[in-house]
Amino acid sequence: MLGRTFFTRKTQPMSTATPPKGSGPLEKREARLAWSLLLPTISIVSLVVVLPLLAIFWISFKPIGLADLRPPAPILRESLRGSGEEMRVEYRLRNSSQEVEVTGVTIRDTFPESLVIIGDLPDGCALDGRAFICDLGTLEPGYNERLRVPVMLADGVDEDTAEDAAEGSKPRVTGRGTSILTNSEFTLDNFVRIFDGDQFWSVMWATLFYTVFGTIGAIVMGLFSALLLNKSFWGQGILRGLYLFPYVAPVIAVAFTWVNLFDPFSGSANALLLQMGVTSEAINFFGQRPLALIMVTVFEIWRYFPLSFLFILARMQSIDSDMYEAADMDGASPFQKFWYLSLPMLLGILSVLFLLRFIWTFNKFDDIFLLTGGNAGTRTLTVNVYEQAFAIANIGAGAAVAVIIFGCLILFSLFFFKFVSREEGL
Amino acid sequence: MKSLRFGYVSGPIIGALWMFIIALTVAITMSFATGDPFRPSLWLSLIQGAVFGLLATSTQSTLIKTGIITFAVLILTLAGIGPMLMQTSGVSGTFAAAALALTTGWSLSKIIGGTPMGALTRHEMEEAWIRFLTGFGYIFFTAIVLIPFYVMVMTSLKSQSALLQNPLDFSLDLDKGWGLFRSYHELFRDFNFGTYLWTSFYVSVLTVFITLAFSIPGAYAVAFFGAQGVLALDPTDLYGSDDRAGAADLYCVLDYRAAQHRARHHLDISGHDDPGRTLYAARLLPRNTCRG
Repeated sequence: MLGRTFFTRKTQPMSTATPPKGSGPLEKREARLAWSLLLPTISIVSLVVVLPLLAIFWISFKPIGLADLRPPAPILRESLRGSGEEMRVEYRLRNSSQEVEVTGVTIRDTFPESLVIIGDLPDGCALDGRAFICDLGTLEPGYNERLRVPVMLADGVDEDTAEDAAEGSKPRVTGRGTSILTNSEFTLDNFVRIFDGDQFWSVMWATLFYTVFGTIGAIVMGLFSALLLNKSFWGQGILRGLYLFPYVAPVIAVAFTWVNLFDPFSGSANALLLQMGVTSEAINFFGQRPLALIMVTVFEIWRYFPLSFLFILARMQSIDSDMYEAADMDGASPFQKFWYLSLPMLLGILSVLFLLRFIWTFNKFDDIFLLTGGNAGTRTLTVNVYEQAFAIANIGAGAAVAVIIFGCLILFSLFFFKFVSREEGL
Repeated sequence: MKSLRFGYVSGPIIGALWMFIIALTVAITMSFATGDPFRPSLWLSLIQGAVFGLLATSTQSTLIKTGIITFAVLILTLAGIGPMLMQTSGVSGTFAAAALALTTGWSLSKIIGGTPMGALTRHEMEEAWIRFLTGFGYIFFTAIVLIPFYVMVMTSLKSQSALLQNPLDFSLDLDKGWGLFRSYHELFRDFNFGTYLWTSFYVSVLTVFITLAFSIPGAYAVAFFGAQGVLALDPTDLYGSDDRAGAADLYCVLDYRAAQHRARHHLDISGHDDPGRTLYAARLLPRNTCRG
């Protein structure tokens, strides 16, 4: 930076010190170096992010289920059957799809020396020396037939050797089926089905409830805990470490603990509530509406308040203490100092936190899935992707939900860049 | 809100709320520790707490006030009409009552012991309430973090059937000796836990190194040259999960040490394990300082 300024200044006459136009040679070289350094990162990000994203978009417009992922193809099995007069080589050929035909089917095989062909070949098949070639054309959907080639043993060959030899040369089969993944058939059915009916709106409602309250709750809790620990006292380090525990512990461990703790039959929380007379019978925390959604949100708040706590505490510690001293001189009370000094100083980080957490919570899948499996009114958009794609094996619909999530995220991001990023210098 | 500016209003309110919080805390702690039934009494604790709160604002010396409150709580609790009710007369009951009495006496005079009974200045009123909220905060946050952790550890030391019998009884049967760690033993002996540990270990190590290889150059470029245009490809949005929350730790590391050698710390960002996150983290750095 310094070098560049010096460089450009030298070329300008002192009297007319205007900023340089365009980019100088040093700047260009810097940019080239920067781009080459960035290339590996960018390419890997593109590979793992952009390609799957494009695939999801493509699939969302396809009428495709889990079973259609593999394209239809001819499937062939060869075996030596029977003995003596009845001996034959059997090719069992079938079409893997029940709905789509497979075209251009051919079989190529090499007959071993140990077998002699004695009868008619099946239709479409020919023998050229030892090479056996069949051109079968088109297989109907659900085609499943046996092609028999009558044979006898050559002199001095026993049956086992012949069988090994016959099955040792693997037949090659070719044939094309139109895969639904690659053909030009597109549909809007996936989207129609998703928006159709009440389910989408209940899913959307659960997502919004979870996201909004989870985000705000985590930030408010983080703010309070940061206020609590923004002073030095004995054991402060231990307490700070302790408060990070929900965030750093593996999600499967804490989710398991919560499920155990709130179990209606053997949970400590229920035992405690019963003993204190708050409730007369055990509460099924994760199994009834609307409690399950509330509990899942509370879990989210509990698990992520340490993140806000970290951000906010770091910001608080960088606030100048001069300001508070001046406020003390003016006779400001503790609440006034919080409201008129701390909060405005924290506003930037709070808004960044809100948007980041909002996006992340919106995308949350594992927590909900581990706690309730998406039952009892806790099915959010992300859980819905899983349900559609894998539970009901409708990949297309799952992809469509994913596309909708992507759309929402794009909206959030635009909002984020427009209103927040500049403010914090991100 | 104006009425809170009197010691005889704020004192009893804080006292009542605090008494209930302490009774609840001691009851839950003792329940989890011993498995015996303890429970706070809402109305008794509110009423008695209000009286103690008023008492604490009187002009007596702190020692006398603390002594009176402690003694009163102890007697009332043991007599079965205190802020905490218990159906046990054993050692645990006496211990719980003593703990409750001492905690209440000490904390209540700490919170509102120095607050006058009459009219309060804004500072006196707010400071009393802040002491109350701070105390509540410590108890609340420590409880929500510690209880799941405690349950997790204790569950691993007990058998399923013992927990089903009394879900609150986390007390350990020390007679078992090493038998307490049976679950851990089985984990390694019967369920190949060592293999999984090894898998986790090398996956983590490999990930760190591979990511480092990709992210150091990228982060360097972003931090030092600004690499115009790269920032349009914002990994924050491309990455769908919040795994890159590690940027948060980083942000803090950087922020904590903002004053000292910030430029050196741009390398800290490479300690996080994906390139997207690292790019994002690099963006958090004030670029001019880094170039500086």
